[in-house]
Amino acid sequence: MKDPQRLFDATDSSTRAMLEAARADGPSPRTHRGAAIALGLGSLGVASGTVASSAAAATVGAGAAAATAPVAGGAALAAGTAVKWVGIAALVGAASWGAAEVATRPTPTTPTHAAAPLNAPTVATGSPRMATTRLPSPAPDPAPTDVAPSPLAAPQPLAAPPPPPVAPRPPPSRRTASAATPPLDLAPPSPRAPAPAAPRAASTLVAETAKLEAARAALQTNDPTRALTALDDYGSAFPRGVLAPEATVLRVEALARRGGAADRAAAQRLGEAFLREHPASPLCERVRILVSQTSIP
Amino acid sequence: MGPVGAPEHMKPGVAAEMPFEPDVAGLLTQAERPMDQGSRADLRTMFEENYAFIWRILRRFGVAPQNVDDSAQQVFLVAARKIDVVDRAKARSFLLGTALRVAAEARRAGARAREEVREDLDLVASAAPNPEQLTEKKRALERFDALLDEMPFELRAVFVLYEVEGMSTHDIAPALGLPRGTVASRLRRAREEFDGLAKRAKARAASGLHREGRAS
Repeated sequence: MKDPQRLFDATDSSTRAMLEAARADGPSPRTHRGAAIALGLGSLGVASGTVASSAAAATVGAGAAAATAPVAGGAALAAGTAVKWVGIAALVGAASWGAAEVATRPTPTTPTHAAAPLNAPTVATGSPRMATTRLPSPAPDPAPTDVAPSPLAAPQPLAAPPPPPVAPRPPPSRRTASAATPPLDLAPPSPRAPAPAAPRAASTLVAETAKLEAARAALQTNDPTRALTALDDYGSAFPRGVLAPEATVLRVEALARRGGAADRAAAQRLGEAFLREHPASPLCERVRILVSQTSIP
Repeated sequence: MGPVGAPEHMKPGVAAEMPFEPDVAGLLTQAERPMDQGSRADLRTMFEENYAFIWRILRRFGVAPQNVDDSAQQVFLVAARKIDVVDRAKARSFLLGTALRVAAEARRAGARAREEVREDLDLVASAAPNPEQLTEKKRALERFDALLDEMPFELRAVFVLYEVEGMSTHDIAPALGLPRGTVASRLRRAREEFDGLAKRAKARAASGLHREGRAS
């Protein structure tokens, strides 16, 4: 069976421009890096991966931010802040918000979504050619299979004495990190994005992330009271923090985890308020689960 | 290449519109599992090779811009949890299948939310930078996404994978859990649909510009 000619090669200039733009689209390096950190892969640095290889990411950085414009407004509304995002400075802020959300996502240890059913992933029957798809191939990446010859080997214990797969959160002083891991702020200042807003947003972001990280770490060691203290700390340091939604979810979790009747009631109230205020947030699923747990005595 | 042949538990299924069944019980226990070094390295490779790809297709599949980062992460969280059972040679296919479901879920959630904030969004839209401030490329991408938004999801998915990501129908079929013939016919329909939508949009834009010109 022969595939038809790609539209790209046989179309008018307007459609070609759209396809071209779509092919060049992608996450900003900052987002990419934030996701790596949240997955516990932070230390490796998205260095070779994004920053170096994808010209697309570099130039699209600004593009992505701007393309997000109208919807950034949506996010703001959803978050209950009636801010009207006008102008590009706002866009830059919006972009870092996105990255921030990722960076502080409570990590692999607490997936917002329970995974899909086991049989859900569809299976490619003999298509190593998948790899031929265009992607910003990170330079010297070994094939996955070189790394782990046997995916089914090494069953893991369910108990978890060693620390969970969370990346050690880089301290705020990450600017001094090694050359291999470009600091967050180095997300290529794209030619079109005015710089002023970016550095401030980034440094605030790092500070906010660090505080929330303290709360998350406390939760992880099953110390909800300390987590709540850390969250109070966050709340007073950043009364209008961009990570407020994540802070709220952590608070719901901490209250639910501590488990007194008053705590559970508070968790439920807070969680329900969150669901009302952020109906589209991907955190909702997690909040729903937490809330449903609080109603079980 | 690595092991060939699908692990037994991974059976081809309908990828696109399958709803999530949150595994509430497993959420806390399994999530706390530590990951060994080999698995971590595999996850890292999967992530580096596919993150941009997954991010991009989520956006093109209709996940709202402000949710793409989160959805992309969701995909890799699923991969992290299943790292022990994912066939490394088919990692991309696995991620793609997961992304389809995450996208379908995010779109449903987004649709519900949109109903509630539609008015406000309109306000925001009018406050957005005017067209001169957007580069040609950004505008092209916005136009493209607007067209995709009008396509049925199953056509859209095939269209994006083939026309934007440059995948072959041979590769798309297993990733979507569809026979190759179905992929080919959906692609055909998708292209017709896209063509029609593009023509109509062009006509609308032309008349809009015309009106605007007269008004000013």
